[in-house]
Amino acid sequence: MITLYHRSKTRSSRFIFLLEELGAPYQIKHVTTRTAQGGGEIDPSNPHPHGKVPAISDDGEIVFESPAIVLYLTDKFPKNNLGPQVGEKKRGTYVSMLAYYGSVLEPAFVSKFMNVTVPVGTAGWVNVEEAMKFVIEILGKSPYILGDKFSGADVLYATTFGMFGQSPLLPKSDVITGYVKRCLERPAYARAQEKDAA
Amino acid sequence: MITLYHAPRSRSSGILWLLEEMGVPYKIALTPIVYGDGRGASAPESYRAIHPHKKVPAIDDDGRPVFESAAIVLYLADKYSLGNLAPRLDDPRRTAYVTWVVYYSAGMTPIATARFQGWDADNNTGFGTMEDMENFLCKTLEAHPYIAGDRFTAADILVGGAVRFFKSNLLSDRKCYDDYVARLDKRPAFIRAQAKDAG
Repeated sequence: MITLYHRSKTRSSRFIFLLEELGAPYQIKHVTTRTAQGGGEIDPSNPHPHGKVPAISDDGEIVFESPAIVLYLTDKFPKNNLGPQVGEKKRGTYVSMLAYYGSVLEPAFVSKFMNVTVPVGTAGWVNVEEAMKFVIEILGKSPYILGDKFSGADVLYATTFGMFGQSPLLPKSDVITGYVKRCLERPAYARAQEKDAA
Repeated sequence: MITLYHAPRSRSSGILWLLEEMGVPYKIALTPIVYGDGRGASAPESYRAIHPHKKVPAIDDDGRPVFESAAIVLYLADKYSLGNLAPRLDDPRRTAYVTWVVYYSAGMTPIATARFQGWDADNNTGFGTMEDMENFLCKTLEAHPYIAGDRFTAADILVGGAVRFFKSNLLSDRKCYDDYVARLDKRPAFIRAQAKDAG
């Protein structure tokens, strides 16, 4: 049984979306976390080593870091085809785009938020404009990150872009607006929103 | 056939080590990059078909490109070394394995870069803190000899490579790092990869 360690309306919310898409049995454990403003307390029952969300437990074994959780869950619950399995044609692109999210796109947004210049050659990532140019190129050609089919990668990308909405952090793009709409119209997303609010 | 897009003594050196550990045939395509100190040159535009930002490492496996260190490790070890360098999907160690592979690239690397750049003077960069990272690393390595448990996995190539690289200037002086790196440095595949990397 999967347990999701969760705080409402945070980066753990999208894992309710993913678990609903997967049709996997799961339970939600609400935990407190320290907020960006410095309030809140780390919950001692949260197994995340830094007291953050999301983290999941699979019968006591812990996974954290969003791309790792996505890969672990789509491998473990393959029946709804949310991610190419080992040996399948698109596996390489899938793991590339999951890793790209965590090691390029997120650090790019954090760098922009901190107002620092990404050092070419030293950093493993690039600035938001360069990263988004690549993502928009993909989504300009196909409806989803992996092509014609929605996958676990879209859970990460679409919810991130949806969350930024009109924020100046995200360059404006009709391609991205359409993509977010397409992904967040899914019934599993509506169910997840309800559960998140509960 | 696997092609590794490689620049000597760069982030692609870790993948060279992984390929030697796996013992599968591969070829190296030397790829120009701009190093941290400004040396080097940018790869030709055609390389963007393999890596969107013209960095290394990237691989091509029978015509399919895979990029980002974490992705390459996950992809190769699952495909060519499942049950050995990558724990099987139903192995309880799979959880720690995927977590550490991703934490290397999405946690450790940005945190160390922030320290190197001096962005974390107020200790609040949004990437997480160096102190949390170091405590987590050492707590894990004090519990078992390798990062995902009692056995060497492909996660050690990334995490161990980073510990070796950051130890001299960014990490604090801790015995857990020295013991870990000493254990990894003895591996024949690592020694072969070092020799090939040096040309």
